Amino acid sequence: MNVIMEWINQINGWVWGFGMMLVFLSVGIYLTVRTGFVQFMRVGVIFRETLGAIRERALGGSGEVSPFQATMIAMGATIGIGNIVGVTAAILSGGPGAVFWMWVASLLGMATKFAEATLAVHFRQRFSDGSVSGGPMYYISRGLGLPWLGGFFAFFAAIAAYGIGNVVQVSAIAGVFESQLHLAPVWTGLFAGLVVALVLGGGVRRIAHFVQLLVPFMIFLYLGLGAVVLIFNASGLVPAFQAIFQSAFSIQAGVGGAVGVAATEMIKAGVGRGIFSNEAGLGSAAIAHAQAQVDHPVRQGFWGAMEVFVDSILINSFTALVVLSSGAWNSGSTPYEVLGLSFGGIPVAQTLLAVSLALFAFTTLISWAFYGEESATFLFGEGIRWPYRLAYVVMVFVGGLGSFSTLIKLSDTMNGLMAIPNLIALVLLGGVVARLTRGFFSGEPWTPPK
Amino acid sequence: MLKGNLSQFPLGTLIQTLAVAGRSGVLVVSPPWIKGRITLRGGALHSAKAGARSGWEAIELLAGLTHAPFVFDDSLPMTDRANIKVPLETALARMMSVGDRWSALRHLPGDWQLELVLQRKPRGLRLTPAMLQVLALAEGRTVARVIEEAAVSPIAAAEALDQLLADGVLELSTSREMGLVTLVALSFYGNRLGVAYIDEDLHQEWTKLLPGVFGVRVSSPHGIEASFEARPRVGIPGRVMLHDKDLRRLRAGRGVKLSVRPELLNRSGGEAT
Repeated sequence: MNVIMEWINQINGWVWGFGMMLVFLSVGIYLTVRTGFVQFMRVGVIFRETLGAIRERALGGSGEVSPFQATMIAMGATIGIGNIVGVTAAILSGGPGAVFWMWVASLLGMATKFAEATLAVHFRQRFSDGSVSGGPMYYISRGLGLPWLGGFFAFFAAIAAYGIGNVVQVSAIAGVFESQLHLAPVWTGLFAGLVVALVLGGGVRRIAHFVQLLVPFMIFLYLGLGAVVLIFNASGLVPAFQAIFQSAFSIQAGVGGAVGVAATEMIKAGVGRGIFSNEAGLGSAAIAHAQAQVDHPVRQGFWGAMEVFVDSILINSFTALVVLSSGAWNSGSTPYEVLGLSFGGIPVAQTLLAVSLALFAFTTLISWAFYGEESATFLFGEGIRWPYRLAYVVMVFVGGLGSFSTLIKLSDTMNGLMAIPNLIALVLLGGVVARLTRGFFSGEPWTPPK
Repeated sequence: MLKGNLSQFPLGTLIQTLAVAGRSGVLVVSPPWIKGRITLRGGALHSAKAGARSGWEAIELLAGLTHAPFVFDDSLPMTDRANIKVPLETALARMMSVGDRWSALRHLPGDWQLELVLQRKPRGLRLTPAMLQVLALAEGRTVARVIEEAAVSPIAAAEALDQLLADGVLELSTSREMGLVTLVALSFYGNRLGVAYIDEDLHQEWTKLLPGVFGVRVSSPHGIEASFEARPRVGIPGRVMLHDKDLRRLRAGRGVKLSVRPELLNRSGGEAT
């Protein structure tokens, strides 16, 4: 058992290590070039095609849910406790300059996610009942002609869903409810399990209806809370920006408590958050984007880019600015303590922060169930859907009761491993993304592959 | 109850079938521009009404419809007074003859909602009394209204219209209400400004209805209007795709509901309206 754990730890260190971060960044740069710097040159189009088109419903064509709903499923998974706790931890380990490198990585991640969402729609599988399935396992299988590699991705995703998508999230919710409401984890698990069962039972459409309300609500709740705190800390905002930009290019990254942090640590912390917060390159969100009813894959690609923008540029920046402007990051405390101090100056802010954390974790729980289910279906066929859902719901119930450290470590490793087949596919299918992007901007209709 | 469309069951065939079966009931024919009603009793024609026309003239008018939904219902009350006095065999023979005359018309559109526009003075054309009747009524009125209201029989009015259209004295134009649909805007990019893509099925429907090349007139919620070349595109039901720059000129964006109607282009390629 110990040998297996050592292996898992070793692989975990490798898939989440600095070397892998450089691979993520390289793929981001490659796709930025192949797409004609889409996230910079077409920034107006991205906004008009996504936030500007939010009022519209489905676009017609095949697909299960509207482009907005598909993105909300993806965002439900992407926006998690990492956007709050993870960003704080990155600042504590890398200093304020880490925020700058997080932005850089996120901007590159926009091209990566754009490519993922585009390929997910282009290579999705249409079934006779009108439903669709897609994601990296399909674009690897259909686009590269390597079903075994697609199978690896699906296997990693199906396992990862139980840990980082399930147990980690339900533990976070249980922790929040226990500390804020003094509710025993067993009740949290029971309630969360019931809600998850009800939502999952309705398939992707019910998931879409659920998250299309909850995800925007939780985003506005958190951003609203952050905005109020920033108004209270207004005097700390200019120094916060100064700290970000000054320390981003200094060898000694720290400005106070983190003095002595090496530049590489700062870049690692910032880039790591910029990559892993929005899951660009991991391929998970592409499973949700594949469900969108769109007339052209590139249109969903814009939503992919926007997803990264909202997750990493908007939400993460709010967290970073709250933490930096409060000065609490200098206190030498743990991330949770620093967050408590940062949001602590305003009545009910800590409670609202706890609610935000719980909501972030809960939507992740729902969206990852869908990812896992789709991945398992790719491997074992339609018959696996209900057994997978049932097992997932059971895990939600028991997830808050124990530590499940081995499962979490294993699923975390699987989550990291998902990136390998996905990044290979993104590089090899970069030409397809480029062709589709050029075609879209020439007004050409989309022809799905046979 | 029997339901269908005259495009599949022409009126003559339909009445003959009902007559042979000795059916009693009311046949309601309802294209968007007129309401027609023919009553049968024991297989014999009893009464008919189509807009302002009644009796045999109503049947003559309805025989000119190439497509219109119909319902034959034997449970509807037959309260109409008898206004067709001819025996069934004679009526069927006359219907066949009228049907032949209708099918000989080459310039009359299938859609009678199209408006008539006086294009030039009828110099060099020998005007018949029916043509004079039609010309007196035509300007700004729909084909349906002229055929319905002319003081000559419907087929005579239709033949006169056909001749005047053939000689270019009259031209067709789409009315503001005709084919008006609300479509949700979708943007496209590239260099094809002035083009509107509509769903292939809608394009086909309008191609069937309209007698010539057509474009589309698009109105935004701000009241800004513009004409576009209409092109079909697969898989965009309920949508109209306009170039991003054209959309901005209409002060609209993706997801905005736009009023779209077809408009006939004249022979030189310009707009008729």
